[in-house]
Amino acid sequence: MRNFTVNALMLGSTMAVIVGCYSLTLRVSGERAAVQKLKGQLVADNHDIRTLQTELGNRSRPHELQRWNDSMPTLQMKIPAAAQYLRDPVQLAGFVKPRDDGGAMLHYAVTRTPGAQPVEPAPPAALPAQPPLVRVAYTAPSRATPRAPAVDLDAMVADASAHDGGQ
Amino acid sequence: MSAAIALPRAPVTLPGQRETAQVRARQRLMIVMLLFLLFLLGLAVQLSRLTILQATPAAARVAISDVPPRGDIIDRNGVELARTIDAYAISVEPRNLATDAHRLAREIALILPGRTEAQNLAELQSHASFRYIARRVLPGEAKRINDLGEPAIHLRREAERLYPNVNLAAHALGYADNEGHGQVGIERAFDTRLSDAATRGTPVQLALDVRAQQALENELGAVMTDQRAEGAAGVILDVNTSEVVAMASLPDFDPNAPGRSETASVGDSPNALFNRVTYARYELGSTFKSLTIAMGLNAGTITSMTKTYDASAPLHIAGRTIHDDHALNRPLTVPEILMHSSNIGTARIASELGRERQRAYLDQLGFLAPVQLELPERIGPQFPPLSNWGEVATMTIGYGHGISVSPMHLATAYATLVNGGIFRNPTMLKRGPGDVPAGRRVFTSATSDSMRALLRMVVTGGTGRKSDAPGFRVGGKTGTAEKAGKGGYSRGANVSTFAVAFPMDAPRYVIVAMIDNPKGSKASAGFKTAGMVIAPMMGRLIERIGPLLGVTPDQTRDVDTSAVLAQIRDKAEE
Repeated sequence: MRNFTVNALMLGSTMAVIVGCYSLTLRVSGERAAVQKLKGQLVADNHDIRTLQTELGNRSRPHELQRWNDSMPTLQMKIPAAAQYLRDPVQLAGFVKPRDDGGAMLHYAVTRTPGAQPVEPAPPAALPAQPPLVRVAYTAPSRATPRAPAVDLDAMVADASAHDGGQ
Repeated sequence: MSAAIALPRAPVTLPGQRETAQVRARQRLMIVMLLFLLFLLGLAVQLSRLTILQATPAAARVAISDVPPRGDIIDRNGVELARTIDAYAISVEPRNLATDAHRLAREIALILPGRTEAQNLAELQSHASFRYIARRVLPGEAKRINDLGEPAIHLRREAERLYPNVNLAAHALGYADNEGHGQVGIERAFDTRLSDAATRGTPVQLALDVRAQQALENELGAVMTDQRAEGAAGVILDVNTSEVVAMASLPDFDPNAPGRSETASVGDSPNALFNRVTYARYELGSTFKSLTIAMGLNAGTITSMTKTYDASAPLHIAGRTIHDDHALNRPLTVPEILMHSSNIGTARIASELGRERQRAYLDQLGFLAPVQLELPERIGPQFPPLSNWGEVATMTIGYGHGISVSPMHLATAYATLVNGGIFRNPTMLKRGPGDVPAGRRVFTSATSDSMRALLRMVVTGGTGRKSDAPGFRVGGKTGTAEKAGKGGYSRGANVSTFAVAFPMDAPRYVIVAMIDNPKGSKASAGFKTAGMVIAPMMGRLIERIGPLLGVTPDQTRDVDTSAVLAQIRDKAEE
């Protein structure tokens, strides 16, 4: 009887270990399957992204874009003319309109270049009905001449603010 | 006699021993039965796991791989030019048809607009055991065909090569066949790289820029249609790296369906599959004159721009007469020879240079061998053998007659001419900053500088005036040659070529455009010359692609041509 009990206990513990190990294996297998499924989903998503990219690329191919541009009366975009390209911010600043009080709304960081002559804004009384564009004199920096240090605009603004505040 | 026999002794059984053995046997039997039970239980669990947890068969599961069956091809900015997608192939087993073939053919024709009822019927009534009805079918169409319910029709997913930009850069890309093997162009040149599992995950990046490619094809196509020309070719080359930024050959084809041309003016033409940039050779005429002058300057035979060459009368040599189309009948300086495109003056420069030096320069410029490019479609040049390369040949080759090369040859030579004198073989692949080969020096930088001024002068005041895009500092040379055919030159048919570079103060790109047999039009005032046919298109093209390729127009800069213009005594004529 004692032997039977021992054997039964051994058998029971063996079964418990087997069942435990097997359930662990099943769990690992389940996790692996989930990872595999996730990987598969990633690949499928990548595949879908590629498909969508292909469709997008196909619909927006250069030939189609040009056909749309040429055929749609509201588009008809043309090549920019050479004069529409600006060399630097100073040239852009040349197109700024002056304020009513005569000050020009120049808020750009500019570099001082040799020979550049700032233009004084005209007095308000001299302004015509349509204020003309302020043209800022600009000389292209010579490659041979080293550039002068850039003007510290922040310092200038700070100085001007302090000056305004003092009046 | 008697014998004694020893009988075996009977086993001695102790009291209770028999019962003990029986108990032990029962225990063993129970253990064995339990083990069997466990085994069966294990089998049942394993079967449940296989049938429930892993119900999907392995074959139907998505492959855990992002690597496409064939590598992608992309342009220099990463835009896709070729990729492989999943599509459906619809096949039929004609012998096993369960429904009426005529009705089925009609229904399939309604679903697949590219297939006629007769075509479908021919496949359905075939005596073969297996026929394809259609390939590259969209999923929606495949579903509708599946819904017909015909058991003999099979749908199979298969990898299909797709060229999203359709005809764009068709000759450069080429195409792959249904089995995924490259047949033409880059697809063929890099077939192993694109199909090898180890390398196909990384796309092949070309030097092409689809924006420049579209602009080139669009402008060339417009001129070709306007001129009712037989064909057109164009190439844009980076002068410093020799990367092919755009390459166009018209008529072209749709690599998604090779053999079917969409070029309306030509239709289904075998010429559509023929790359005129690398696989055709032409006598490119006066565009060679600038090369001859560069050779003379570099070799020292042209000692000064003020040096004159007698063009006061046609040149008679060995029974042949060389004359100028717009004869000035006076000695001409070097700038005048180029600006007036004088055959006589150039012939005299070539003669002064001599055959040996001319051959050596042509060899160094790559004109005496097929162009070294990745594309398999490359043609060798045609030039006279040494035994027949006398003074006449030297003279005529000097102005681009008697030697036939591909437009790609000319583009590479012009890149050498303006980049400071360094020859580099062109490439279809994008080159990184450290991948640019050193190349070989053909001209000195001084010769290159002089040529830039001369070529700029041709555009500002010569035959290339209509290409002078404001701010882009364009320079170049036109060439209009009679087309060489089987019975000699054809007087009515021309090959008009224009080779330009921009911006001339610091050249970045060379463009060579060629129109094969232009007929003249209202836009070109009836002329068939390159200056009237191609130059206006070239100006528009440079305005379009310049900013895209990083060249901003600047009207405050230009090449100093005062030294060469000082040698011009009158205005150039077309």
